[in-house]
Amino acid sequence: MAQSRTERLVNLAIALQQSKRFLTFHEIRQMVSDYADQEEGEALDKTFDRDKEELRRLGFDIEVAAATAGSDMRDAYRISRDQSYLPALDLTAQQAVLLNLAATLWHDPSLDQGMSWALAKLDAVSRTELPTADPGLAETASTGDSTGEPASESAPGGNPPLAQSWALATGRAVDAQVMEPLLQGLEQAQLAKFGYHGRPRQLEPWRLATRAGAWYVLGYERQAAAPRLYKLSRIEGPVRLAGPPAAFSRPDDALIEQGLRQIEPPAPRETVFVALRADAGAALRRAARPVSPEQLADHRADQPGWITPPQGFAVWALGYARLDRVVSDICAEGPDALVLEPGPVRDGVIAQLRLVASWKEHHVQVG
Amino acid sequence: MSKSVEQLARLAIELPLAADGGVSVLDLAQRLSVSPRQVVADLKLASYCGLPGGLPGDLIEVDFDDLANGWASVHNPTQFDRPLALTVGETAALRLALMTLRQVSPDDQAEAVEGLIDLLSHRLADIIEVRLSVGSDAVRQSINQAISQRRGLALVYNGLARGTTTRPLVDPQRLWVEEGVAYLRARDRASGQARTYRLDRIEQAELADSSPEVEDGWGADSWSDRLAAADSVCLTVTTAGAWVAEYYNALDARPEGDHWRVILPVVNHGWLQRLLAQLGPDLLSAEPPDDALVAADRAQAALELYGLAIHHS
Repeated sequence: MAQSRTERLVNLAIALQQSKRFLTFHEIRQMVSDYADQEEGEALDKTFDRDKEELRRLGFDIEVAAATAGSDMRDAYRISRDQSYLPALDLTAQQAVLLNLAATLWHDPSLDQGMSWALAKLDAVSRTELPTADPGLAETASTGDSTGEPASESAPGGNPPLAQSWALATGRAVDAQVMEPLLQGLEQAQLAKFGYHGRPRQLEPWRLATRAGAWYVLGYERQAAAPRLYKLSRIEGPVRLAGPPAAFSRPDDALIEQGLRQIEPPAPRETVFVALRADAGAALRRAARPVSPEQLADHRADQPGWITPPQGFAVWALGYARLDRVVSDICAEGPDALVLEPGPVRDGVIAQLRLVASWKEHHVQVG
Repeated sequence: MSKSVEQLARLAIELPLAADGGVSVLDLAQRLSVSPRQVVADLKLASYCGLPGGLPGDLIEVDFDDLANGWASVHNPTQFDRPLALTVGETAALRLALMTLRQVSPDDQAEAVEGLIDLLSHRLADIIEVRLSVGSDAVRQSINQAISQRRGLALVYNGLARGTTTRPLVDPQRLWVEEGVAYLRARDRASGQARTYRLDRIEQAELADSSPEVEDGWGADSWSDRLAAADSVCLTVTTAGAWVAEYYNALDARPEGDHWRVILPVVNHGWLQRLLAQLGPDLLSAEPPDDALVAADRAQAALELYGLAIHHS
């Protein structure tokens, strides 16, 4: 009876594991009936090679003993069980709860299956039982083992247990055909090929990073011969890995940190003085510092063109790197923000406000 | 992964779990996100596998009586008595989940989470980095305390929707991280309404007296529920304005000649009015136009402000 491919792979895995010594293909063939049923030759060799590759991809560590004159002049193989299988896991009761909590609350479309499979595997090797998803467990986790007291005071009145009050997503959804190969390339130090802005890229990936929900990968781009940063959501997938693993080494952290700094907004170089209505303009104030009346008077002494902020407004000094950006950001605040200085920012804001005000007549038509 | 390789990957998890006294078929199916029928098919196939020779113990022995009763039990898993080492995808999932949990954890829990991160995903240590917008440690600490002690919080909040700083007294209900940003759902005592606050915009959070007993409401809608229920607006923007599509998770975005047509969910109209004014010349049309008209009024009011301001000579 012809065997299914899965059956052949399982039998091959069993054959390679049960033997302490290396087995030649000749020996393996007698243990895997599907191989025995096929004629020896190039086609069978190719099948065997592909099967080994599949087993390796799943995590089986297939060791190879190179051919010697003593054998039948062919390589010999065995699977190292220590390298292939998950070792036993010792978790504290709190860790077991936290692991399950993370797995229950966390969600990512491209890695969800990885999470449930990881948990199933860990459960099989954990000496501590991993509690199943239970709304009450998070309370135990949040109080910790330190007090030894269950969080019973939160029980009456229907306060939400944490498992129901949390949900965790590290970043925006990324195509699994981008995420999975990149992770592989990162861990194996393998070259990743993909399109970006319509051009093919060849990246030696160094690090995957998130900033406020967006995913980035930093690495060395071979054609540019320089470090480059790519946003995963703009990568034109699928990402394909090419060449052997361990194809490059990662630079030291300092260089990687420097590369990742591009994600951060550029450091402000100029300052605009803007008057904000009390408790308004929160978005601007986050990056600004308040200016006291005395400081304001000092500035005004050197700058004759100053205008006086109206009643109910306070003056803030706002650092900025790009004129067009700061103009747009200030326009968003409408009548809650008034630019005092410098002139170019004020003129830019007034020009954009005029344009926006004109929508009233033009009903925002494509111009 | 081809079908047969995926089946082998599943078997490598099913067999060790079924070996030691067994496990329910339903449980296995849920853990592996497949149908119970698939689990039964996997195990039946396993029963043909093993070493040739036909001696007892050569083949994987699946208990078919148990299987008929929905119980997966294997007496001789041969070599498959432990699951395979974690794949990189599995390790990454664990690491990301734990790192995300770590960033919102109370202090007493953080250390244990760090231990887990190191234990389970050390191999990705220098490869994956997670930085979330979760606000300051002090704010998070107060929120966690308020939730577990059922107390109120006095917030100083820089709301972006209205662009104003408010000082609400709230009763926290839920804390969650969505797309890398932490949110607090809390009932505003003044209005009695449930509101959503971004943690990184909470300037201060101080513990207040205990929360009044409230029967309903804490399971209220998440941000994604609100997005699902939101209105939408269709914008035509220049290439320079196309950033809005990505920044605000557009429902749809496509290039049209030199322009982009972007459909955005609108949870808050104040937010949209501010966005439209911010886009300025990069906005070519908005449908419906109502918020653009309000933005125009606001711009007019702003211009009058400049006219009213006294010039010093």
